[in-house]
Amino acid sequence: MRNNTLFRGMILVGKLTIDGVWKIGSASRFMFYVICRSGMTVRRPRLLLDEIYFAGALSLIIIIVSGLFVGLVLGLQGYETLKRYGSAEAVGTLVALSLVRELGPVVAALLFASRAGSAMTAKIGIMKSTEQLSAMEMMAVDPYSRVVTPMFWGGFFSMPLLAAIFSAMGIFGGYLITVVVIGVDGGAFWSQMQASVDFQGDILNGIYKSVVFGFAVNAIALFEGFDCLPTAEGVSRAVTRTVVTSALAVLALDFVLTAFMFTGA
Amino acid sequence: MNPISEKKSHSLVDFNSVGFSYGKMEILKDINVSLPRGKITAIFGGSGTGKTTFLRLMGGQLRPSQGAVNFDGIPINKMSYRELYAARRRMGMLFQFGALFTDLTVFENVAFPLREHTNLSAKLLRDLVVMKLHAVGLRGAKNLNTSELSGGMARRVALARAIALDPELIMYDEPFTGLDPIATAVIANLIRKLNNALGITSVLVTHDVEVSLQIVDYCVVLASGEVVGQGTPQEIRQSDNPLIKQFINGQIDGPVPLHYPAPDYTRDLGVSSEK
Amino acid sequence: MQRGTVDIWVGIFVTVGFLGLLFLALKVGSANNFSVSDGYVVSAEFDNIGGLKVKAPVKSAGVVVGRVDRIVFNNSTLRATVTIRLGRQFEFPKDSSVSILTAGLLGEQYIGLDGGGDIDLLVNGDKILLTQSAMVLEKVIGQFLFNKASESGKKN
Repeated sequence: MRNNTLFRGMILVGKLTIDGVWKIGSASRFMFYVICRSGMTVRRPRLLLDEIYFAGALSLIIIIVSGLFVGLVLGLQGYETLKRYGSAEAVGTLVALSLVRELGPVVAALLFASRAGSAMTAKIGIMKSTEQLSAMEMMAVDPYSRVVTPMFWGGFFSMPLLAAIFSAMGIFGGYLITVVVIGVDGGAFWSQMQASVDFQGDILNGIYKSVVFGFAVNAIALFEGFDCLPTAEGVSRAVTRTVVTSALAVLALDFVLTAFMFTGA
Repeated sequence: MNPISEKKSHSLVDFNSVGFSYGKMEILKDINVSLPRGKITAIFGGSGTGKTTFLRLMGGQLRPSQGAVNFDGIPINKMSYRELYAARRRMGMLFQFGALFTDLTVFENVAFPLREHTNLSAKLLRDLVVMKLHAVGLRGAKNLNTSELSGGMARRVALARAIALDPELIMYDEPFTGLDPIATAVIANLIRKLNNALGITSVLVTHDVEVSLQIVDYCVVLASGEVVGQGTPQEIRQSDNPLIKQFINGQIDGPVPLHYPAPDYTRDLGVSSEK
Repeated sequence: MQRGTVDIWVGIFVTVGFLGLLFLALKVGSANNFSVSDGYVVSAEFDNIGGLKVKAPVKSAGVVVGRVDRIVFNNSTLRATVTIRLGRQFEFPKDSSVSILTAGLLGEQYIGLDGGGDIDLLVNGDKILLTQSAMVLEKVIGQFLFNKASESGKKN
């Protein structure tokens, strides 16, 4: 009996592993196609513009509002902790570094995955399940070039901008709560921040991070949409998978990138 | 019911001993069918007999496991990506539920293939779209959203979109499914009219026998992935093949059994005398 | 009309995005952290660099004038060779001295550069001869105890 359960468990683990590897393979092939067929996006910037609107402009509100709130919380918490050591002015450094290095790229990517990524998956999935992609193919229009690739580049281009907006709003939020509300010295707030935030080491690395996250989240969202079962249930499952997989991918990639960028000499 | 074996030039599409299997499941076996130019051909078959696969093979969306599908003499499965897309520009397809682009208006849906493949001026494009919509009687609906259309209207818009590029071949996937009798008659009439007016080779995949037999020129009957008979509507009506008879007359039981293979009923219920 | 709204929103989005980037670059990041790739390089040898790290600041009179570029162990002298990159706008005499200092009691270590009196100036590739190593706490305490012991020895 117990042996049997163990055996079945092993089979399940094996199956999940094989499925996972299979999926990574087809996702890579999918992304290869998408990038190879970018020609139409370059020739018709109109398509790209529509997708920047869809992925970027429509995510603007959520990014601004959550950035502001994250900054408010960071400012408040940081102030409460730092004032015990008599260095409340360092709260600017704390807020800026945590946002620029980590929270900006990561939280913006998570919000992007749940706002724009899920919408992308749903859009592609619905087009697939209602045969719109097939119909396009039969009209001699390549659905990769016409639909998927512009979506990918639109999202890819929007992600770093959204992360920058998020960080900027967060720092502004931190400034509001500590300087305007609590009354920390504004000059010290900015000067300490500027003294310890390095453009290349901190800000550029944060932007690189958001570029990598943008690639990952968009690739996952589009692949899940393209790969879903063409039914209503299939689409809804694909949307869930997009959010879950993107979140895991972003957090795992963040660890790897942080290890590369901010440790060592 | 003699299989047609005439010169190639009379047919636009030829299936030469085509087989298709999905994994281990064999969907089509040894299909030999030719679609005569300028005529309407109906492919009959019950659900799950490989009718849609048949259309997808013609559009090059699937590749046959055996044999070849020739479009105008060239095997579709040997075409390069570029050649296949060039061939598809000569085809139109009406999908089962229209497959209209839900984020575009009626006008934009019909304009879509024109915008993608031509560089027409806005004025000329508009006129062309209006003409195509007029052909299906929906000129007045051009500014509606696709969500505002009834099933029959959606299919007519899809038909206008399918003929936007003046194709040589048009494929109808279950054009009558889910339509009320009036809409069915409208679509059937349109298919016939478009064929007469434009000389398009049409192929109709359907299980709506009665409507189809009135408009088509030639029929092919599929059952469990094989061609069980082909001929003119007259010949099909008079066929004494039991499979065709059951299908045409809609008999409940026959060579296609009502029951999915199952153990004996009485034993399943546990009322059988034997233990 | 619909095209117009899309364009406006994309315009707003891109503008706000670049404003955010600009804000981060100018207001948050320090503009006075001059680019270290630009400037001239001098080296110095230390007996002990303590906890000095690459990219640590080089300060003269409290002003950041450069950064530590590279730290290697010199096998022939058994000392540490530290390469520092100084901003092009800063000029120092040839006989300047460098010492490894600590910011505050527990702060990070940096290099202090004190100007000398020479007329010639340091140029790219020069070597600073006058160096003072990092203070190592154990050694300082050891020395202190030794001095105390010898003092009390004299008294007796």
